[in-house]
Amino acid sequence: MKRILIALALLLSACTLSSAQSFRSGYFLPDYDYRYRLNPAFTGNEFIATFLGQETVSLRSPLSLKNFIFPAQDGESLVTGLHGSVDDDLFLTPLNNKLNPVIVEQDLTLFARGINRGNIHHIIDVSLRSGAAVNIPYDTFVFLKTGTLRQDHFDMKDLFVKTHTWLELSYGQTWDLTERLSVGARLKGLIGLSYVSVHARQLDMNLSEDKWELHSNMDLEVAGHFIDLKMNTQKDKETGEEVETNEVDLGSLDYSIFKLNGFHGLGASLDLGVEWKPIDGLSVSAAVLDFGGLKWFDYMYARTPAVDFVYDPLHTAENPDPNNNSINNLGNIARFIRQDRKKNSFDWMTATLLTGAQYRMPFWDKMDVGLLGLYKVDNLFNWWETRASVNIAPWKWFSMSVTGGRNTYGWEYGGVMNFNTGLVSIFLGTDSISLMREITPQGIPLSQLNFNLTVGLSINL
Amino acid sequence: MKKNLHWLILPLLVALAVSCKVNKDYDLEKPLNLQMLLARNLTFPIGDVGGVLRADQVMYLLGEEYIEKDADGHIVLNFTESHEFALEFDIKGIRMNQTFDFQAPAGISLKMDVENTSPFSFEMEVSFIDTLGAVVPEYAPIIYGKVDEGRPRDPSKSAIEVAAFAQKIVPFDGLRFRFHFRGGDFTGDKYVLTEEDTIRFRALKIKLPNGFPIEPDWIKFLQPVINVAKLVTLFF
Repeated sequence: MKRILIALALLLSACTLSSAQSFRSGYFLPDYDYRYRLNPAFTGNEFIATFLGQETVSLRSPLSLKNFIFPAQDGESLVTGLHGSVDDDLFLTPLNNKLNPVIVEQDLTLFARGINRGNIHHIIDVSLRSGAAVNIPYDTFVFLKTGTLRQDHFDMKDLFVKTHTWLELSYGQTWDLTERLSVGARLKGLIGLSYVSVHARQLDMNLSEDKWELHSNMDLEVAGHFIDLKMNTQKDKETGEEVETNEVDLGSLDYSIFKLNGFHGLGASLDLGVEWKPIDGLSVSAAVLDFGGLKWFDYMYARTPAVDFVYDPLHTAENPDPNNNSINNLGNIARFIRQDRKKNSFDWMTATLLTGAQYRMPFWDKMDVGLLGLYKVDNLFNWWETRASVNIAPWKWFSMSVTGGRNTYGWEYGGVMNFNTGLVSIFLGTDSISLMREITPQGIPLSQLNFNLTVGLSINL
Repeated sequence: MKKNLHWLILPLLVALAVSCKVNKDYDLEKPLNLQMLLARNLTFPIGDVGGVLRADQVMYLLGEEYIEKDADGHIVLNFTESHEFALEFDIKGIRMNQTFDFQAPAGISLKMDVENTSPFSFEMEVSFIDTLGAVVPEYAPIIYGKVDEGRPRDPSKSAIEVAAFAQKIVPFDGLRFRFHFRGGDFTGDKYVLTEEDTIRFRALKIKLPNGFPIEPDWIKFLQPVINVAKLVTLFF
């Protein structure tokens, strides 16, 4: 059991270690070949990178390990927050956000090539990107922990699990318009590989002593040949054979990459950037990333029956429907029925806005400082960050940045090191490392789940 | 001075890194107790009890030897302090088809409103019965609830909550009420009883004040998360 727990905790940390779609600490780093991903106006060296050119994984969440794991009173074991010995307020107060998302993103560069031709810098990039998000509304925890002790109405709207994977083929150009002004654009073609979404667009529970009312409207959307999702079966009355029904068996959801034999979505997105150097040593820049989306087509769409559950046995005369007044119908709210019609859906990318300012130190030209502002437009989970960095490049073969800032979920510190041997560039960095924080003896941060890591290698030409 | 600046960065990072505080209380090597107590105080409304106990039925069941009628037709009760009468009354048709298995003794309360227009006050005991009328043994013992006397067309309304403990909440098909009348409470009083003098049981509810203790199967519990993790990690 403890091994599983540790493995899961490490997996979460690993996710953060390997994740970071927008690797902010690299924004001002000199000689970082992938700066064009943060702002297409940044020019760089000529380079080529193949499989595992850059791998970035990130995890964002207001939650932490300390929200769910507690030392038991005996001091010899651990319990979950839902254990009877854990005080209600101790568990619920830190979770008091209307939404409690956990968002994991990963970005794997399969191929990248940077070419300089005069004043124009060309970029070709092929990446595999995926994202997963889980959101547990606060009322879900309140219901599980305290039942109806505190409230009898629970709004679990936007309880969801969502994951999508797509291939990104991009071509970008950076133009040095003048000595002080550069602009860049990167057009990305998106090929959707898989999409799974379970979303409670409405999930209201009113569990008063006299009457139960449940209003649910939940969607299930699945696209991708490498996803297995079976339907429930039932015996045919005439033949006695098991026949497939339209009810989805959620427990059968499974994945196998070996079944990948097609795509189910097409789309496009655009990165735009500008960099201006008004005076010597000062650079101001701005970028919009991932402006666009993916249209998923030909996928399985199921939803819960559009019938509200009202259990009102104390007023049967006023509400005589026997189907409603059976507690056994409660399970209907989680029955997903496959719909005959196929549905097309447009999935917006998580657009990111960045603005930065960088100033070279007058007393040492190998050192500069930067300030970066970031805003992710993520529908339910808009996210901002302000991050300062100190960047040094003392030798030709080495550069590094140390960064720190505050974002929607608190303070974060990061750093990146880039080694350039002339032939090969290797870099390693993170936007979120545990400094001055509580950690478990295994090194897992207790108070913050946010973490990420970017590693990569490219060949200089 | 300038050349030495970059040497300060790395030691500073190391110093910050070692500044993390290790909290041994959260040693993940310790066993994790997955017992959970979910959804306390949940109350299931069941319905009104179909049967009604009439006051004259009560009289009859208590025994004619204690009843006299005066010249005006008033009923005079001749109970004494030393008498206590018990009366059983079954009500069927309350169906609960769900079974909840608990791993620890779980509390269960039966809540109801009693409307009493009869002149009797009484205490009552409730047991759960199956379709054959046998007491369901999983529910015991039952605690008494007291109902105040009422007046014709002016019922007393008593909110009764009786509690029991059960290893598991099993299906039941009805309730058996056992009423305890203390004769001395109304000895010598005169009554005119009509069919309207009744004892009614309304708004029956079952409450689980202590919630549902469960110990989930770790793997099954996390299967959706594991499935999502599998999908994401496919491409790492």
